[in-house]
Amino acid sequence: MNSLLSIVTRGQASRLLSVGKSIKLSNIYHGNFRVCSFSQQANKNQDVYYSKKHEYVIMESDSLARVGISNYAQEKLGDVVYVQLPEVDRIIELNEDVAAVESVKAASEVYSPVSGTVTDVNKSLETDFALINKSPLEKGWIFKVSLSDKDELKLLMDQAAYDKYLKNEADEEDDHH
Amino acid sequence: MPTLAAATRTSPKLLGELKIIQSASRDIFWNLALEDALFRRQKEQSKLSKPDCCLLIYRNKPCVVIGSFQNPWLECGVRDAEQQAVSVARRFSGGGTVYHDLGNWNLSLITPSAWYKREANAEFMRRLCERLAGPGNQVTVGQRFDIFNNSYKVAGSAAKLAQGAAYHHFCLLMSTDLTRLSACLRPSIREQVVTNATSSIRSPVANIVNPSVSSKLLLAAVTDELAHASDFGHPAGAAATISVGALDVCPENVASSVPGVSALSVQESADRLRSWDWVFGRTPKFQCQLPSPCSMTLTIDKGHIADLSDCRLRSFLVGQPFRASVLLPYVDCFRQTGLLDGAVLDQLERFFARLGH
Repeated sequence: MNSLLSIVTRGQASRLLSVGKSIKLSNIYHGNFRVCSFSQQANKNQDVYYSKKHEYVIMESDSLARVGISNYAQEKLGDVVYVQLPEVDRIIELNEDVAAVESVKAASEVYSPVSGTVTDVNKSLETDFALINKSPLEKGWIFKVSLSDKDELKLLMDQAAYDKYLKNEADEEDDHH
Repeated sequence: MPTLAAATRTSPKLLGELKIIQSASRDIFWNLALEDALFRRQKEQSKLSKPDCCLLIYRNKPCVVIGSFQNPWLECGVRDAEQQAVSVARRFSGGGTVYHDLGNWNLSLITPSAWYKREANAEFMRRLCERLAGPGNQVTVGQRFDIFNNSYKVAGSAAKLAQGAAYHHFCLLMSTDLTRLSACLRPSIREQVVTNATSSIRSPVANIVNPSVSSKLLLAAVTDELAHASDFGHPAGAAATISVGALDVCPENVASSVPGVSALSVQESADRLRSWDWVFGRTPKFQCQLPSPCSMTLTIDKGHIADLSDCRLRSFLVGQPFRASVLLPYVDCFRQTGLLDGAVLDQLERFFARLGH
């Protein structure tokens, strides 16, 4: 756990410091604490898979998953002011651009890390977009999907691989400066 | 097919060429389509080990440009704009509403997403504005990456992010008609509205210089600031070369002057951006409350009336597009049949008329 914490801390700190000077160091640690607590929480009963584009898939039953953006992604984006949800019953393909999130005047595309059919969208986001910032993996999910090909999960990263991936991103960030 | 990302990840470390190009078109829809085509091209380009990127400069005839998730009826006077031949456009990037005319210059930096650097782009714009404003002016970057000259906003910004590519564009007020700007940004709907669409943050604005700056001078200033880009961590500092490409890109020459961009796809995308379905139909769902004597609530979803609290009108109006050309004939019809009393119909007529054609 300690080594994971230090990896995430370095990645997050480097990214956040490069994004905004106004962010205090204490907030970064607070952010990391949340990353760790969430991953632990989710791992207890459910598997979390991540895409390179920072979307996650959490299996809720055998073939039903909820999809959203990772804690790293929400921290990088900042305060979410709008979320465009997909239509229920829409058939989505792997890596299809299905939703959008707006934060600080930036519109970001959200891709589906799996293919299948949208069975539900998070209606509570419509009244509180900040749920994505407050609880990205739990209350801030974006849509639920009935998976058409569970083998696609093998293309995604588990928590440990994702944490390592974030570390690589942070290193590249360091290289640029 | 993506494989285990951690092993195969290839993020650009250095950029190839940064090419400055300028559109000769003054059509907002075509220019937004060109910007989108360059953004799509960038997604492909970003896969290379040393991707090229570009800076697009364009100007438009008078128009109002709303953010991707905004409500045009709350951001501008749609009917007033129509009457003055001011187009209303919805862009792909986030943020708030701006007014463009030939005195406003748009600069769009299109890069691999790893090189999307908001602070550095804003600093580049700040330096550019400082140079254009001349000595004795205080030019600063605001919290939302806008540029202020002596506390008046002179440049706004917005961005679009996707896998592989991003763009950050700025509009720079040089000699814009500020009276017309204010006139165009008066809302069409002044009644009470419930919405979660992105709202604009209104700021006092000013032009940066009054005697209009030439295209040549602006280009020289841009090139010169970019040459010093490594001083402030700007992507241009990582580019192997900075060059000036086509400065007269237009529908007739786009295929030859901008490699990798198809004239037809830009045209198709421009047509889609120009459509009512895109500009108005994509408005986030909202509710509008008409006060007495109408006293009714309208729910608008996808630009169409989805619900109406007055059951007499429901069967006629639910499902209709929220536009004057469709709704006003109904008001006439109601008047003839005496379905509603005159005061209610007058109010409805005034309300619908403001929605634009």
